[in-house]
Amino acid sequence: MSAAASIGPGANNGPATPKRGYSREQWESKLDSVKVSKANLNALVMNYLIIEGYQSAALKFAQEANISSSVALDSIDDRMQIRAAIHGGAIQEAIERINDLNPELLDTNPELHFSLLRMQLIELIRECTASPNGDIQPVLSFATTHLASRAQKNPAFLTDLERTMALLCFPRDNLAPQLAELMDPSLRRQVAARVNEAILEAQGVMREAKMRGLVRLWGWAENALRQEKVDFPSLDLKNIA
Amino acid sequence: MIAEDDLLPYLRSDDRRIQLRALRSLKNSIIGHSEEKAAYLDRGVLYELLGIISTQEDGVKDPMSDECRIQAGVVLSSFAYSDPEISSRLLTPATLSTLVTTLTQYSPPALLLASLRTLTTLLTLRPTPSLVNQFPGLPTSMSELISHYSTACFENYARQDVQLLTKLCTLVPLISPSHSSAQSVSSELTSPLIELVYGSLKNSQTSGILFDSKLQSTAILALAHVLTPTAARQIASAGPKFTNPLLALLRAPDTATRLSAASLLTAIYTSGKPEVTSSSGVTRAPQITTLAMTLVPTLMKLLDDAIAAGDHGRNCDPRILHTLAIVCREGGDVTDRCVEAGLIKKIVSIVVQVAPNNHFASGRILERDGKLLSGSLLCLSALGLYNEDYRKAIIEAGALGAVVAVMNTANTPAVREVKIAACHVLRTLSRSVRLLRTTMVESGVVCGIVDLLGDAPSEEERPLLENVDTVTSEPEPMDDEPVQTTVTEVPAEEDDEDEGDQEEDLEVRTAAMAAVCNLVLDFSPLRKPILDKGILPLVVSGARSRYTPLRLNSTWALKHMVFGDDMDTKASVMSHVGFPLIMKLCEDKEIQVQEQALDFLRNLTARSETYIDMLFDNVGVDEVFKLVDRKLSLRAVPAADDSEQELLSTQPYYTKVIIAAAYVIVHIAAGDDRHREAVIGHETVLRKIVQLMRHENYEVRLACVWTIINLTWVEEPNRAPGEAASPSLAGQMSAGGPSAEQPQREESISSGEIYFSDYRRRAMTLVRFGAREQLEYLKQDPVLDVREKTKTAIYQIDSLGGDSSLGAEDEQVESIGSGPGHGVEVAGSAMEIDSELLP
Repeated sequence: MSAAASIGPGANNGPATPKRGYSREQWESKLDSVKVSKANLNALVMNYLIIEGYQSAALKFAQEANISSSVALDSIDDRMQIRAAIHGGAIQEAIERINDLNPELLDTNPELHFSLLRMQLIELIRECTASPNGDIQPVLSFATTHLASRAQKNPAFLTDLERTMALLCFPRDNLAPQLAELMDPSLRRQVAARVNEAILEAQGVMREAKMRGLVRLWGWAENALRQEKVDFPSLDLKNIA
Repeated sequence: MIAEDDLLPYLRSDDRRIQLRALRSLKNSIIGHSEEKAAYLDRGVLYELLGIISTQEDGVKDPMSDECRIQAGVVLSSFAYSDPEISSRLLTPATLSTLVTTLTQYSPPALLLASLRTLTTLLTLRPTPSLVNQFPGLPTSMSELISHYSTACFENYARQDVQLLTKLCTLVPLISPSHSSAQSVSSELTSPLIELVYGSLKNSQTSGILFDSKLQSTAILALAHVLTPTAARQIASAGPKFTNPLLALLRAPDTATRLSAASLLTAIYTSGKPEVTSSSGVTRAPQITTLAMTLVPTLMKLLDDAIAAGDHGRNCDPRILHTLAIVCREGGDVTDRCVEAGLIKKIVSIVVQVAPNNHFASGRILERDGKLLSGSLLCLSALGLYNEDYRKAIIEAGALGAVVAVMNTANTPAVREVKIAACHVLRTLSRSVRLLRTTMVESGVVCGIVDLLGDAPSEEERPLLENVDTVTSEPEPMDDEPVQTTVTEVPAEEDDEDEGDQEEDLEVRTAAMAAVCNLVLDFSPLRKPILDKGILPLVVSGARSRYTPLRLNSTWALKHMVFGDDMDTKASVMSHVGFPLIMKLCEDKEIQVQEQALDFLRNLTARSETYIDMLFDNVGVDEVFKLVDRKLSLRAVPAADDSEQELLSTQPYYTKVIIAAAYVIVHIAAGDDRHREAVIGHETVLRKIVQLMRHENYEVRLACVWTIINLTWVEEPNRAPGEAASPSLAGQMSAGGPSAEQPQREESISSGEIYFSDYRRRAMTLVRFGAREQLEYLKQDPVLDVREKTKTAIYQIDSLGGDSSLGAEDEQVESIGSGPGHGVEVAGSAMEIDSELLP
């Protein structure tokens, strides 16, 4: 694939023609003339693999391309395991893994910690409302011990806590939308994504793979060209070898 | 999780696996949970953790044992990442000692990282000035670690190594927060840091996306912190390959990098020896000034961005202002450019936002915004230092109210730094005579300053000081006058000052004293209130300090106090100071202090026979002249390793000492006849004076000519009988110059003749020593003042028979109308305030 890291609007400097355009050969040769260093390309790829979480691929790639990365490559797996734990509702496990991987994270990120604790609360509620005579004691004591004092200091936390506790009052299958979303698995995915980003940020890596940004940039540039009524072969994923 | 009650015993277990499990449990129960942290601390967990961290196993390295140490270190760092009430409980000597001990290459890297995290967090919370004193091996260990991990990083860019290096660099300014302690660690830390910074600058140009900018900016800041003049010159002479990448970083996308590059460039810029220092500022080599000029837009942009970010710049990084202060401190084009960009107004808008807005606001406000406020005030003080217009602008923008409010805020450690900055502003503003007489008549200023001078370390800090095993240097034998402070009693145990511990205190007092210097001049309306508030004993105490900047500023203040004609003040000062102290200061090892002490004597003896007598009576006539002789003979002697530039920069002070000593003689000679006899009688000094008439500095020459004028001035009654006194002699003041004082003495004619022969004899003595030839030479002196006074001197000396053509004893003595006979030179440039030693 000939990746263009930057796209210049290839305006002809000649007299304005009614329809500007590039044939495929012209386009391709213009693309080829943009020099992108191998180092930068490798870095792009590494960056993608790390952030998206492909540890063994990253390790192999690092070896083959002979590059070193400032991110601990073997921590990719750890990150993925944390994500998996959260997806599966094993919050305590996730918390403990976070504490192993990055002990400062929850100390310095109270909102994130609160989200996780609230997830834990939800899981406890899920358990106790599963059966009609479920014991709500664990729920209450968890809420009291870990969440109440935080909520006191922070109005946003308080609102969240109250809403979560409200889950105890209503039957599972007939929840108002605000409450229903708390029980929805998508909440887990949200929290997991936030945790992933926080870990990456702490590691000094950007939150999103640079590649994604570049693809968006490509799309924007194509739009800009179209508005200028320039004809060009647009990027079709099928064409990428 | 193991319940809290059960956990602690398991921590003490000998079985490493059990210990490890307990540590993990502990970790998971406290991270993010403040109450649990408090509860565990109550139960003594700190002791256990420190114990585990300190275990060193000899022989075979046991990974399990290492892991336990690591986990204990991590747990400890979690305690540090809490609310201040909790993390401050970690600040014990045992904790610091344990942590510092782990800073070696032999510690497992994860433990090293945890310890560094803990240390940097704790030291940011509570800056400890004397950490380097307590742990003298620390700079060396850090230096080794930095070198080791730098090499590792450049070979193989591993995340943990980067983190370690970053934390090490973060730690550097924290172990040596004050200027002087930074200089003390620089010998070990400068080289590894230069290597690191230089390497990272090269690296960043080749490696593209993956380079770690946080490490780079932290390393640059660390280097800027410890940079010595010598090292800075090295870097500057290494040329563009170092400075160009730095300049490029000024345009980096992130603020931290831009700021760090600006800080380092500023340090390089200001550490070279200045070419010239004058009342209009400091002049440096042109290429250095150009370098500084490029910093201005960067710094101003950083400031503008911060202000635009909202809340009138309340969240501005204080270092931006600090760096601007350093850059502007030198006056000149750089300062002008900043002011053109509106810096004064911008800073005052921040100050006004952030400062307490009534006189008795609590220190709580200042704790949050302390660094920002002190940086802003320092910047203002720098801007006004050499320029009267800027001083006016500062007042007009409304800064004084905030300054006074700060001075009157209750004392806490956080506030102290801000008060120092406020003192600097006051000192700057007091350079304006106009302002002294008008806007600054605020009694709020007086109370605040006196409080600062009498301040002992506050209650909060004391527990830490008492526990610390301090390294004390030889206590100075104190003179036996007890020092009473008006505000707090200095407790007995602090008599042998450990300068390191009380360094913050000294810096405060030095700054306050600098402000005092100008406020006590005789035309200052604040003089009386300040003296009434009992400032004298505090100034005297400062003059005894071993801390040179304080001693210098105190002596300066004393000099200003005896300036002028107020006899009461002079008496009061002498009763507190005493001649032994002055004599001691005249022999001080620091030449600038000597200058001030000699000037003190100059002011003391001005127009005052009483004090000349007092000087002779207390010190002894011969001793006085011996002292003057020594000072007139002073030559700057370079130490073996001083560069020529060092010599050049201290040379002016040696000359000033000579000038001051000469004027002491001028004043003695302006006394009565006994005093003049004393001068004539001390031949060595007299000869020196005559010799010095050829000194390269015109002020020295002028002082010598005045001496001759005074020695040969004949008092009125010694005219030929019947001659009326010439009106031109009585109490005439020449423009801008010395004032005449004369009591009109009515003497009988016959004693007049006797006196006249004494005058003649004195004149002949001068002639014998070659004064008349010197005067002849000075008729062509390039300086007008010297030529004019030479005419007077020649006329007088010739009238007394100095010119061999005149012989008659009844010769009338006339004085040329250009001024009165008494060369009573007003002492000391009142406006020349500062100690260059001020931090």
